[in-house]
Amino acid sequence: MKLRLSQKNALWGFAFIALPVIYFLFIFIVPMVQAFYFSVLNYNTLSTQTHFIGLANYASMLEDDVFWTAIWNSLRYALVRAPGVLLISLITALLFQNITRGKGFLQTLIMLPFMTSGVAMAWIFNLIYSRIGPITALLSDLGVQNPQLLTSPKTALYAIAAVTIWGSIGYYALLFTVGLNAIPNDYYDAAKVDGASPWQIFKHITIPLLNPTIVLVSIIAVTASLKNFDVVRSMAANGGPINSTLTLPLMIYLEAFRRMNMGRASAMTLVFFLFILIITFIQLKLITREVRY
Amino acid sequence: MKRISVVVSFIVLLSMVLAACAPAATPAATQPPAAAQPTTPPASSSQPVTIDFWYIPFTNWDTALNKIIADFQAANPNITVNATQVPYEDFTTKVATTVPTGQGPDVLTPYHGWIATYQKSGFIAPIPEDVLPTSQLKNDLVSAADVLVFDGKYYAVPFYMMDYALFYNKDYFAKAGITTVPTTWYELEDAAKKCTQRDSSGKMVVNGYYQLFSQQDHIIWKNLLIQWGAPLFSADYKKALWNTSQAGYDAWTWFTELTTKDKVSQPNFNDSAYAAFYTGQACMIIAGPQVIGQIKSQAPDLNYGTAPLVKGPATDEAAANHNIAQYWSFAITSKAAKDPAKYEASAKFLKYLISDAAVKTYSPIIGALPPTKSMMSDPMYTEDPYLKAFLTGLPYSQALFWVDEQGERQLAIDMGDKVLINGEDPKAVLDWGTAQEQALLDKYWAP
Repeated sequence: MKLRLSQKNALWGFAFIALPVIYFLFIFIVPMVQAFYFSVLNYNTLSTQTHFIGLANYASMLEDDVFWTAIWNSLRYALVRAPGVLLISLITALLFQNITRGKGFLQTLIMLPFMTSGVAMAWIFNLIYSRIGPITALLSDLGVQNPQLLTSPKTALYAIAAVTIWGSIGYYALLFTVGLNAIPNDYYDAAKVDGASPWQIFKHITIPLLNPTIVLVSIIAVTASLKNFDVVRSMAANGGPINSTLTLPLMIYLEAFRRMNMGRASAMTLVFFLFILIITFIQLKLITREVRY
Repeated sequence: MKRISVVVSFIVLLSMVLAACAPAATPAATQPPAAAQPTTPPASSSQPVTIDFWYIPFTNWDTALNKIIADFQAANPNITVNATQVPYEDFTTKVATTVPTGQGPDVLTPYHGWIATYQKSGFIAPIPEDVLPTSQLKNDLVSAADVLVFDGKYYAVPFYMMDYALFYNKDYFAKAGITTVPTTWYELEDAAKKCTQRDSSGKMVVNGYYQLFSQQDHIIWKNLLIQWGAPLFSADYKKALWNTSQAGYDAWTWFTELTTKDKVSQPNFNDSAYAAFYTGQACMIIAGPQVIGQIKSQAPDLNYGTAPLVKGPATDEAAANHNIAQYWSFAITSKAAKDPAKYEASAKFLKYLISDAAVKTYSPIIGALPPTKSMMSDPMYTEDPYLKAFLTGLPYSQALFWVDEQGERQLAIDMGDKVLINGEDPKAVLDWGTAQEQALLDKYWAP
């Protein structure tokens, strides 16, 4: 078949975009379609029967109190971790702006926990929080009765959040440092000439001009908090005590690989995806402001 | 041009969607269980055959099993046993993802509480009659092995048999002026109060009786209900009856009050009750014989004793003395059952594993009771100063039927945490736990 030049060009065009299209289809779209397909089956690897059950997995999930506990725990975890890590990272980045000697060394040092495996970090903190660990000893000396942070339903989730905050300060501080370095010095010079105080400079120049970085970092921090699995799994095992550390990713894992209920786990995965999408959308709406230099 | 774009796009999309759906349309679990129709093994075979054997690397298991495998291979030179260690956490996941696709082990070591699920899922096959007849197994094995029978056929044989007994620290008993070893739960409570040690600031140093639901007490509390005269399940195992009698409420409340009222135990004092005992953090624990092996290797100088499990207040003698047997097991997979040679070799391996020779090899290494009645009178158990306490309990022992071992275990942990850590009303927690257990039973028995 003889093709016209425009048709040949079109085919070449398709050939070039085929690679990224196939990549995205297989890496993103296919698993999603497959997850949706599994979510409407009673697909359990321990069962010999698999058949279509419609939205029954979604219905049973929404009726399950533990599922709502997991949603609430994920939110609590993100609400503590994301603002915590943003605030401390921003302060760290601002402090770095004023350091001249040993800056590179300190930045490397603060990045070390981020480069450490989450599982290794979790096990070290399991020891630190344990009955014979230094934190328990310190709290005990301060008069706290039986201060076992990881075994109390009231404190376990926050104790885990504290570990992940500590572990990711370096990464977020680095992002803030890049953002701060991108702000032109002219604005600071002009403000100083006009007699602005350090607080006024921070409030009226640094924060507004850093907004694109804040938006980016907060979306990354919230999403990472909601998705955190390795540290939670290593420190909370099965989400105990009494489901107080059962986050949604952990619940999905337990449903899929402990109860072998792939259908219900797939339904949870899709709901989790929507959950993150909605939160990210709300975040974008709330904190996006246009900035012009 | 535009039309070509639309057509090509449509074809690409359609092919992708079809590709997405294709593998999902036949997930592995939809395959019919091979166990349903196992191949009949040939009468005998001298052809070389290799069987894959999966086991969990618990303390000293590798030493014990390697010795047994070496002996078995020497007696059966045509059979090679290829042993692989699979972690406890991943065991069922790996079995579920390999066996239905014709891969994975031929022989494995599931916990007896998993057998019902494995049998229902078609992961394991019945033990072939011509190598190990059901009548012979019924006659030889202890009664706790009855839960391994489905449709009149054994699907596994016991390994690492254990029941429960009291472990007590003789030095702490002497220090507290306790001269007689408790024989009832109430005597244990008194002894635990005397044995508990605190420092000058009131901090727990030695738990009188260490209670840990994530370990032995998730089973002990169920035994306690029986020892108080309360029913656990209906005869057909379809109804949870924990809260259907006053005795059930009394037993559960009394047990949790050891921590909440008597304060003889501090929650989460140690992740392991066994370690708490052999490191001197607990005066008493109830545990299985495996702790003897651990003490031997971890704290050989510990001055301790074992005594039969303490009695409950039930008027019926068998109920008051009731004990729970639990064990791991050896089972043949449905994958092996598809290959006559492997099926026969696997059955021979199982036959050897419950033989007196094999039991005598592994028992001293891992600290286990015999799976067969004939071995129960063997001097190696009856004259052992620590093991004989466990033998006393074996005639009263029954294995629990588990429909979801991990789920039921987690339920007991949550029940314990609710009362011991959250301070919730034990009666309300027992009601909640019974409802949760019923949900697990309903799920298992659902058609």
